[in-house]
Amino acid sequence: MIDGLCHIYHENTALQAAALEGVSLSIEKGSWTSFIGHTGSGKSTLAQHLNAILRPTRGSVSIDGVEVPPDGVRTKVDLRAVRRRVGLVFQYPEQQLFEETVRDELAYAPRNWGMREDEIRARSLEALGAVGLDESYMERNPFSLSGGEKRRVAIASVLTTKPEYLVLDEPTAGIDGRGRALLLSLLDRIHRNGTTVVLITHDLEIAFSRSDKILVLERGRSVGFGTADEVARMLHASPVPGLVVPDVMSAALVMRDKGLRVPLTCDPEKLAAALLRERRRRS
Amino acid sequence: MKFLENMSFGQYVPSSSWLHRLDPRTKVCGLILILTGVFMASRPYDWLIWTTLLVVCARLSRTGLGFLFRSIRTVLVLIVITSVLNLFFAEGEPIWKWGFLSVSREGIELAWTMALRLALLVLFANLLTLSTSPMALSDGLERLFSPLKRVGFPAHELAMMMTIALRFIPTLIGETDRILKAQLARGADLDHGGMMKRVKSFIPVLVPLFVIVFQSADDLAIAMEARCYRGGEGRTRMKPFVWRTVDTLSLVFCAALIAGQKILNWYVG
Repeated sequence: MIDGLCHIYHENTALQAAALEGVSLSIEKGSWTSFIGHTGSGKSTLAQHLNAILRPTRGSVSIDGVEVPPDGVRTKVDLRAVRRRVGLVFQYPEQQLFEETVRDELAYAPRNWGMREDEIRARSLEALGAVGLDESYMERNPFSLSGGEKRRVAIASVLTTKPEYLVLDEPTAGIDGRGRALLLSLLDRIHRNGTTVVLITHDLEIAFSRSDKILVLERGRSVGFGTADEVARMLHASPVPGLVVPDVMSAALVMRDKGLRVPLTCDPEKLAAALLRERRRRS
Repeated sequence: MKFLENMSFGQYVPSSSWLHRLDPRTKVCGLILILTGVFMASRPYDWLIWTTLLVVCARLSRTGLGFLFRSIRTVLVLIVITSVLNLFFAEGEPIWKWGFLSVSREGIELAWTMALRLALLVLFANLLTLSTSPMALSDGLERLFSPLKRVGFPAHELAMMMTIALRFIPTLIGETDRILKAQLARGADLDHGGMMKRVKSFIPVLVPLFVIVFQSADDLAIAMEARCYRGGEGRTRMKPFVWRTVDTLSLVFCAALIAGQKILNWYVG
């Protein structure tokens, strides 16, 4: 639950900059929410509020009923407990790696939460499997892995705590098509297993094809929050510069305008099937 | 949570104020002159001159005094320690004694003079960095030191090193902030436990930071080579410095202030 959230960096200095101005939204358990908007729109700042790494300048953020205290206030609220429930994968997470072996890297987070070593081992293996790497990687040096593998290890290092909410900031940035497909199938699987996913992305195709809710941010303000269909229709009617509705989806929107009964989808197969159905219906 | 966010000391604040537009060479020389003056000051009305000058300069740079004074926080401890030491250890007739500690009239005077002097030093220096982009500053220094090139002084290389170092400070602060947050998200606990535990808890921040530093250094070297950087020999500037009349006048004004201070010292002192 986020209500009227504002975040201002360097408040009351010459460098003051408002990153978020009055953003409100609520994220349902088990859903998939995407934040879209272009660079500097405040997506990452918003994401960092979801696990209390940043705290609100004004407005409120509550996570499972725990109210995050405002910025600059000393607090007894255990923010680390919040962070344990909400996993946050930063942009370019491979840059956070520091251990000598993948095993230790994966054990870092659960050790911080004080888990038992045998449990840590089991979870590490599970997380490594989830990102599509096998046990042989456990003893390797993370710095010797390829870019895509590093990123998967970094994501696995967040998965080891089994967060109920998983927030990912541009996880597909800078990786190739195969890596992207792998990552998406990983996210789909995690989501199917009941984890709430919050995805920050430039890739509108991912956002539209999977999200239950989409938030559109523009210069720190929310300019739209709704289901994929609603947001697609909104962006189609009043385009936000830089946010282009995927081609297949805008084709579907145009067809609907012309009276064809087709679903709003990003999948060309589905669109074609619907068109064929429509033709059969008419003849 | 705010990490490393309030770095106001030594930070450049872009603007197009009068002070910003002054030639960097003028500002460096002016700063040296002013600091000489500040070292010659000792009586209350001397301080009035230099403090007024500071306020005027701050006005001319269009920075709020509040913002400027905040920069003192970083060196406040130093200032306090210096004046306390001066307070107790200056020679003179003691007016108050407690055990081995004694305070003399001279000590009190020295203590507050020292505090003011240090504060002014820092504030004036900060005005320079606040109104001069690191690039302009090191170019200015290079030009000032270029006569020494004849005797083998590596003015250009030093200026280039300084530019690069300064250029990477904000980048590194940003990276540190990002990595710190990433490790916090993985449950790092940086502010509990004993000394050793805290130091150890920074390893997860330092290692990635070093990796990034070496990577950026490598990238930068390649980028410089790709643009045929071969040192300072025969290099021209995109924006050559233009010495204007205001620059001469400003320096003359600073020199006049020092002369005034010197005369005051003669007559009164």
